[in-house]
Amino acid sequence: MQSLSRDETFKLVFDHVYPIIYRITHRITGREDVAEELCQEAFIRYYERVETFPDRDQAKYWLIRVAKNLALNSAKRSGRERTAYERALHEPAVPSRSGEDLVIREEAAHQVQRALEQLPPKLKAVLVLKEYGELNYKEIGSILGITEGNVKVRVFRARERLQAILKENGYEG
Amino acid sequence: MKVDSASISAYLDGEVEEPFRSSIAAIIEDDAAAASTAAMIQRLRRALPRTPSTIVEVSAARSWEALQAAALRRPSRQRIRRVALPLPALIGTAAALVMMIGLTISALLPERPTAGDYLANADGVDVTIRVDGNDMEQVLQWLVDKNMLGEVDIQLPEQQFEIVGEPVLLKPDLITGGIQE
Repeated sequence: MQSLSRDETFKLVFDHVYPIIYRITHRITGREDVAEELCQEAFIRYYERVETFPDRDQAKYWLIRVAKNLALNSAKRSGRERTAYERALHEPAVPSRSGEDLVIREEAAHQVQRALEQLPPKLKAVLVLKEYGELNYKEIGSILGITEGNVKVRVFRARERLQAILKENGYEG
Repeated sequence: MKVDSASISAYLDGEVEEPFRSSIAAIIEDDAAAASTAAMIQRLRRALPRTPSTIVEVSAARSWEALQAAALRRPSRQRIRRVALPLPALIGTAAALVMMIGLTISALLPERPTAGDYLANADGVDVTIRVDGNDMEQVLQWLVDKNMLGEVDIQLPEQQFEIVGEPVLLKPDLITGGIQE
């Protein structure tokens, strides 16, 4: 079998992995523009070391790990900014879009997204990788550097916590 | 039989193999608490927002263009293939190269004649050679072997002394060791 060139390998990995890391970064940050920016950043880093990965799976896991870390850092930064903004105005943050053009289902999805963003980073990462990363427990374990058993427990705790946050916020899904 | 909630969650994720899979399915059917946990997890999974594939596709196309432009802007150094070499191997290779170059240069240089070569070729003609102190013993040994010791004048290099400061009168008892008679 003829081996692929550097650029061909990059394109193949991009086509396969971009949708996955876009969904992950989107759910962690809650913003499409930020997700796109972070995905580009991850792929620029990957471009500089395409040859260092023994196979495409290793490249995929590395990209997911980088994108996840970038997204968690970005979420942490924007969380700090939002808190400062809320304190300055003495009122809670409101969704950027007006309520009039949102259907009930969209509002519900928005509530769940907000709850997802409120999860502690460790629980948020594991749940997002499970629900949006198309990954099994073993793969999640190798990305996060934890055992499969640990992944199993964390996924359940994340769900339990998410349910509790939604209940506190009066979510009726 | 009871099953923990984390195992129900793993079962719903398709992470439990047979025979436990069938056991958990049976427990969820029979046990109200287990059924409630399973229902809560399924409700939650359905409620999770999904990004429409069209948004992902549009973003991917935009990012691909941006990455292409970024790759073109980068210097060609990025395209150089990097080879990882362990440090000991690198040092060994460098040492071998230096040794090879040294051997090549010494092989190309004309061979320097030794003192013995000069004397052997003298053949009755007066020859003056300069010999380092270290080679002296070899030269004398060679002359002894050839029975030529009587025909050699050894001229030691002249020493120059410089007197600095006032002359001092030296007494014999000040000279350590003294003069042996």
